[in-house]
Amino acid sequence: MLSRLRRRTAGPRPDPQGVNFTSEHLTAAKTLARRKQVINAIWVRIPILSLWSGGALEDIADNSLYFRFVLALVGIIWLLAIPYEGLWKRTYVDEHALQPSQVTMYFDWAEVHKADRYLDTLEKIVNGTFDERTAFLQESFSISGLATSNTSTSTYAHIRPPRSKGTETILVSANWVSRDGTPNLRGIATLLALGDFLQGQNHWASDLVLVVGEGYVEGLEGFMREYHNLFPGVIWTGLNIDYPGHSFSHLGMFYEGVNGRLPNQDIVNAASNVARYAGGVLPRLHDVVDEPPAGFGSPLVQNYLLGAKHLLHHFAFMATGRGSAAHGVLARHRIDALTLYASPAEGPHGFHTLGRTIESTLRSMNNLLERLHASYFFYLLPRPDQFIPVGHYLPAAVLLGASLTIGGFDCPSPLEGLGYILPAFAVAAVAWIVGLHPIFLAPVPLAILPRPQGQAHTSAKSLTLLFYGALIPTLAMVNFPQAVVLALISLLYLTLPKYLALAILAIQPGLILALAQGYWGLDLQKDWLAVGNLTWPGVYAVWLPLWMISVVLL
Amino acid sequence: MLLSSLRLLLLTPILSAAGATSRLPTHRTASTTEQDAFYESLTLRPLPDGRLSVLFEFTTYFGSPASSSSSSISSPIPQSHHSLTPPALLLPLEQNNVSELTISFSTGWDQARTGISGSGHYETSGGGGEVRGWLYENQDDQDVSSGRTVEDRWGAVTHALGGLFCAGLGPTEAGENVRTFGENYPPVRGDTDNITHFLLSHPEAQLCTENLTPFLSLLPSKGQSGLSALLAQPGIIFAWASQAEGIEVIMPTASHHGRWQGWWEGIVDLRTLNGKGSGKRDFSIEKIFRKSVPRPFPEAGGSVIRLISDGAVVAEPSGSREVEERIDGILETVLEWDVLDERTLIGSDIAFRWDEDRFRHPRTITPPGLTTSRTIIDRLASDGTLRIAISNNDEIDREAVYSEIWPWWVKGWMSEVEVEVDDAKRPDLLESVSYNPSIPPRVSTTTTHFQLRLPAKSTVVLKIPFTKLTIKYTEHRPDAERGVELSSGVLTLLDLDVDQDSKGERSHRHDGDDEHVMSRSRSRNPLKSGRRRIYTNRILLDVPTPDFSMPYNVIIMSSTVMAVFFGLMQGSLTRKWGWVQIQPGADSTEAGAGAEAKDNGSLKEYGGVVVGSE
Repeated sequence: MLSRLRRRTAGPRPDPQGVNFTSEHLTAAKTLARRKQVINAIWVRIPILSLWSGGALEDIADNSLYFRFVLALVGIIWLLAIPYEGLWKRTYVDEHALQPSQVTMYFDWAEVHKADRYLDTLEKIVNGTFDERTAFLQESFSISGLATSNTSTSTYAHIRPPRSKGTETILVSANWVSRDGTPNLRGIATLLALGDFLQGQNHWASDLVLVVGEGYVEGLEGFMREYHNLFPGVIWTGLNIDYPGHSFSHLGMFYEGVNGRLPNQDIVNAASNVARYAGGVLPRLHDVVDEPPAGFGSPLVQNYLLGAKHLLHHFAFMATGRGSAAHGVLARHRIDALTLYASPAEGPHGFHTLGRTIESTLRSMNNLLERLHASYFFYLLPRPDQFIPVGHYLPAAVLLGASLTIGGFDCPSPLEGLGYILPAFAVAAVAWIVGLHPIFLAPVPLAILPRPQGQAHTSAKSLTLLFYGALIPTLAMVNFPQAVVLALISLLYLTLPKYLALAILAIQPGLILALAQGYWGLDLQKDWLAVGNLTWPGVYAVWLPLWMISVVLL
Repeated sequence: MLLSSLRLLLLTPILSAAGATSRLPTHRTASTTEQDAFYESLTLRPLPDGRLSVLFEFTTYFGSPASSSSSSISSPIPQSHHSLTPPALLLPLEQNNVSELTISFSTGWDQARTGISGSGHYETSGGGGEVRGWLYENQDDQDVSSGRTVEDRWGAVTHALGGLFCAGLGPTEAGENVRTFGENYPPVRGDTDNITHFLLSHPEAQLCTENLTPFLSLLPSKGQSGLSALLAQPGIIFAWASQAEGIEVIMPTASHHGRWQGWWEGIVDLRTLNGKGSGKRDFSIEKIFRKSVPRPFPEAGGSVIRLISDGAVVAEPSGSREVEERIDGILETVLEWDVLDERTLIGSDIAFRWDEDRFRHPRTITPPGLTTSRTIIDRLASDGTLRIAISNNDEIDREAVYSEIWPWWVKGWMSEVEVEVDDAKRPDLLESVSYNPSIPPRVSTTTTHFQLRLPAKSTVVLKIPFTKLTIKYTEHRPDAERGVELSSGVLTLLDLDVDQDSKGERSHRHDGDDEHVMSRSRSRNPLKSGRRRIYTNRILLDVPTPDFSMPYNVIIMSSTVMAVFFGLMQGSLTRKWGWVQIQPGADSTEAGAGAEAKDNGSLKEYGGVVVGSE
């Protein structure tokens, strides 16, 4: 193509009579002419950019609409393509120090017997007071030879292996309430047996802290807030044990942390590897059955549907910013953690498998010389042994964001537009401060906020598009599912034809949140207060202003 | 204030010319012997949490004043005759004009679980490696003429001994030397004239298997006989917990003997020794070392096995004598077996038993008089707060100086230091602060000394907020994401009753006076302790680290390319290029040819300058 451009005539020939040009001039002239042609070729083909090439202003709206539509379409197609196997890669352990499943395990039937004995007592005191429960736990840890104490909502024990420097710590936790809502007695029994088992072993380089938290996450979160007053060791990695049934068939890996922070993928990969090869139990992602649905013909379609199923579970946790299990609260403290969930079943696995898996996983974590890093934090997991690297999914959100941004280029009067946007943010901020539920903001855009007309309308809309268009790709880097949801909401609110948009805007955000709370028990406000889930402030800072502006701009 | 109170300590003669420490089995003075002498001891101390502290100490006296001075006079060629002393250790010290030197390696000591404030040997430093010592100022004509500063000599001696201990002991840059700790570690001889103190802390260093062989090679018995034969078993020694190793050398002067002492300590878990389920914590020399009592080293002046116990342990055969000794301020009964005297012990075993059915790990352990803990709270990528909790469990107020060493990039907010007791601010407890900031851009350390009053039965919390300055790309260590270890903090006690050193309390039970001894047994006076310093734990400080991985390299590479070509791209996208007509006469060189140009509505004439933009 370059050579073709080069052969083209670069404007009219210079007139040798009129100018005393040198060969230098001629070369420069040719270069300039060539460059001009290339740039013109691009400008002509991208309608939106014709603004600068002198195109008529009124054409821009049409051109940009066309261009935005293409971008949004490609973005959505990309999004739908994510469960397609062609975009996946096989997982691998990136940090070589982890060496999963490479150790001899010592957890054996003697420890299983001890866990059973602990379980007997735990079953008796499960409905007791906190004091009764912590007294038993501390007594058990102490008999094992561990330093133990409690905070107001948790009991902890400190294992100081002989060769540990005490500068690094691995956290192992089990909470009284499982993510099922049932008592996590076997998880705690495993933890007590581990305390007895690990004490005195001299191949550990890190300290270990065992925590039994009250409730589902409250105790663990309370402990983490006090951790740095109690212990000097830096925690890099953590493991949470959730074993509600009497036996289990698979080990579920729950990895999503609060605010969509994922643990380093090596943690998930190493734990899966250990479960599969050292523990002898098949890993699962969350509690999703990893079998292709029957009756959909080709394996391609089956795998697509199975991948989509896994990703939808993942999106549900991520979009709401909730941790998928109790380990989620550790994410806020910069700990790469994972919950091992023993999927309740009639068998065949029990304490033996779980104990060996935990031992081997902890040994892998113990091998670390430094914090897990290496850009391995951004991923989607469509199947237990497959992942989608960031480069394969991120463009979907970027394209959706770009389609919004381009729509905002036509902004004749930015200041005037700003005057119509800022009130919406101000109203949301006031609502946040006085603690008003979003549903009560429903009449605000109709009653209070001014409606822009003419040029002001165009400007306000452009500014909104620019702001949300910039926000979406940025958010996508941190929390891809949340960014996708925001992009879809923005597209629905801001780009649909008037009456369709009206129908959608009629479903007020507060209404959606109230319904979600009613049907699925999704209490974002409680999450924010208890574990610092930023989605609740996000609703006030991002979603409500968007909704109010969109209503005003209709 | 701070200086004066430390000075008090400093000027007190800690060790008389006799040079005997409390741990020495025999009383020895310089006047009694002309030749070198070697003493060794093995101290066993059961700990309340079912473990046992095992401490080896080897002490050599050398270089009687008369002989050293005469030899240097009689011969123009420097001569060094060594019988019991290791030339590899002493020659670098002599060459570099060192007065005293201490090297120690240790891993953490759990104060709360052992009931002791630190390692069994008082000179063991905090976590990691540390080398400290006193050097003579330049007086020697030779040093002045060769242009070697005292800092050069310190570098030379630390590098030489680093090679000996298979560990990088020397400073990588001169600024790493800490010069403000002289008052925390006063010279043994008590005379600070013409000597200067150096300290180098290596909190990242480990005591490792490579340290044992050089240590043994320094001993006259070389691990072949005597108590060192028990130590020369890396497979056993390195399975122990809380290891500590150290040497302390005090060079001879015209009037004083030299002394060098080496020690090695570890903690044995007696429950795992007997099998975890057994519930027993009985032990014996053979159980611990898998060797019987070895034959003594022929040249040894003393070879003693000692048991510090409160009487709950029954030994078989029982020791030949009992002595009373103050350890950490507590008057303890020490049972001793002198291997030199009791030849029947050689090749046999000494067994130790508790009169109990089953050992039950205590729910709580009585803490030692002073405990420290150091953590970092308010952790952010760029900031943090050091929280140092010092618990005084005794009935009396204590005076102490708390000292910290920070790398240059830790900047403490000294104006915001807080002292609290029970969450209430107590600025009155902080009596003075000495702050020696690092001097950028040279690599140097910041040191701080806080003089504190520690009220009885309370926990003083010292909070020091700090900021982490940005480290240069090249200053990150390998495994940058690990963070950087901070040296242990040092709590130096100012109010010890040093005049009544523990040896003054010593009495031999077989001399009679049983009743007197029994009544004073385990009496506690925290001021009469030989432990002058209590160390906090090391701490791993997270450092804001760029991602040094491959994607990061790709990102900086592509960002660089974008930055370099930004101007070109920006120009191409926003400018319009064309021909500009230069008016005739605008430029003298071009003017003649400027001529009439045809302008067909667009700019396409060739002038002198062809760049234009809009």
